[in-house]
Amino acid sequence: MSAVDPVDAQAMRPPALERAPRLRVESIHHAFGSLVVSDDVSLDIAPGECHGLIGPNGAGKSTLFDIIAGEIIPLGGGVHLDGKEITGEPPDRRARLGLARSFQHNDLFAELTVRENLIVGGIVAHGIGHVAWRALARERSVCEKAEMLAMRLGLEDVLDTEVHTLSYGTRRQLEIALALEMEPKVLLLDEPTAGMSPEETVHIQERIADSPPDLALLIVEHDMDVLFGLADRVTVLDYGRVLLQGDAEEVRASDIVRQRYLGTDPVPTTPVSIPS
Amino acid sequence: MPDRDPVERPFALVVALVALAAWVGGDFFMHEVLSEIAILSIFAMSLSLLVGQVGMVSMGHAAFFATGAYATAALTIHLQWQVLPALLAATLIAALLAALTGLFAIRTRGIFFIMITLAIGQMVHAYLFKARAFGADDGMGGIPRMDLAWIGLDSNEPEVFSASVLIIAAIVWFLLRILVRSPYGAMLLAIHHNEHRLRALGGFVAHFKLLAFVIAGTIAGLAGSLTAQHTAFVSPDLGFWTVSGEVLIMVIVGGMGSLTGAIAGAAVLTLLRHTLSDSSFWQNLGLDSGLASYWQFMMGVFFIVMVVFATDGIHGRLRRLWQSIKG
Repeated sequence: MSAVDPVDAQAMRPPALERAPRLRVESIHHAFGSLVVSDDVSLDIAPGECHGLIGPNGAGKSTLFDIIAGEIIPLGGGVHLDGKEITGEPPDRRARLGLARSFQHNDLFAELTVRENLIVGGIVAHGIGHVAWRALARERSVCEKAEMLAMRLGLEDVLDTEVHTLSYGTRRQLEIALALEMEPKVLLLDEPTAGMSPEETVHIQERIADSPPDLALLIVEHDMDVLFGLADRVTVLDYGRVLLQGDAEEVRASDIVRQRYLGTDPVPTTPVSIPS
Repeated sequence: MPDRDPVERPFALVVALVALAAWVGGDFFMHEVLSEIAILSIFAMSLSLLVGQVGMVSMGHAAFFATGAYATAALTIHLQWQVLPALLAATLIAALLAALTGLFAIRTRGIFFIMITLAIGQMVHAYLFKARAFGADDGMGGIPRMDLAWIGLDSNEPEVFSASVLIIAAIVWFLLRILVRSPYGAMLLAIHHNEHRLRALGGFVAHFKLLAFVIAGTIAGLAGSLTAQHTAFVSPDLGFWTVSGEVLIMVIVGGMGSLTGAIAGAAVLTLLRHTLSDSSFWQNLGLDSGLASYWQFMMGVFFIVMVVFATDGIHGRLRRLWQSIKG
């Protein structure tokens, strides 16, 4: 398994997946001016599969995320969710179709409390955002679910604390909780454990591991232990191209990955930079 | 959102009691002022929904105020409609204009939203200033007031009219309060805090914003219709951008994000204007009565003091006071 050409990589995959892919990314091409950031990138994620995305900084991981989430419309190629083409759909429509994401840099309702953040998520998830004539307090299911979610995340003590005062790791947890609250079919996680303490990392890993069994996950992660602990399949990106794609074990065993990421090479893996 | 504002309700109760006392004890002039304050309160509350809840700072809100006023004038004078149906139709016309202009305005944010709403306001003003059918720069006079004969009252009497508009203002407060406390109100607040994230979650951000813009425009149109009835006169000045600016100042002085604050802001600014432009006020202070003609300058000083020392307005001050008492 050292295919450099993504077309070959696709050909090497089993011809028919047991289940139709939840998310299919097909020959994505994108460039910012003359800088090519995605060059013929393809990947499929089946229901229940956790797909890892690795590559050095600037490999085009975040751009690919933005393309899948709809923040960027690619110059070429397509994105399909459950067999439905969504390449040109705006982000909010994709979200309603079942595509949720967490952001690399926490993107929360910072001046609202944890409870309020989860309630906002709950209102969107329940599709009651247009209800203007009934008090929110009457929407028991939304309010109770927010509390339940916070409890499951261990955030019950900070339920009524404004989010911007919380620690980075706690906000990170909330970021993921908000995405999961949408009960998505596909979840994109952009560096979920970046900047977290080891305990928090374990906690998040557990949360991700016990997400719904048919959820398709695409995860960018710099911590290789976390990544290979979760991922079933892995795609390696480099300069916008698919360098390698396959089962996690195969990728882990490959020379390129061992040299670059797993530290058998004299050049050590650079630690994750902690965003402020 | 769970109620994080312990001040709003007692504040509203105090404002209501003050209004009631003023109405009971008021003379002819006081009832005129009360009507003016009630109408401007409705106008300010509508803008407060946009500015305080959604964070959309409009500088053209007077466009809908003027539209409501002119539609009432045109329907009652040109078409001899009864006032109540004219009021409803005028409100609807303002809503329509808000929907039409909102489609473009909500695509922008921040300074660009301010500029586009400013342009909308000035276009309405420019049209009214030139339109012969609506009296051009002379405006239109002789607009009747709502007919209350069916409950045995005459709305031409100041105390009857002031009571009517006060009641309408109270109804608007209640309806808007229901709205801001609803799931939809929470969505508006979420847009204010992080529009991008709400969109990523799948919220109908554009729909929510357009609806808020239309609701605000509708209520501003209602206030416009009432002001046309109050003064029996409409002029293009009603749509001028300074009117939008003044109502924005009312919202800021009252405290952004509070409906009751908008009412208090409207009251404070209206009373201040009447007081400072009254030459006997300056004489009683032992000063030159000519200072009265500088009332706009004095208002400017007041506004600077407010912005420097109380950016969160009257409501924000009260809330801090409450918090310091509590802990």
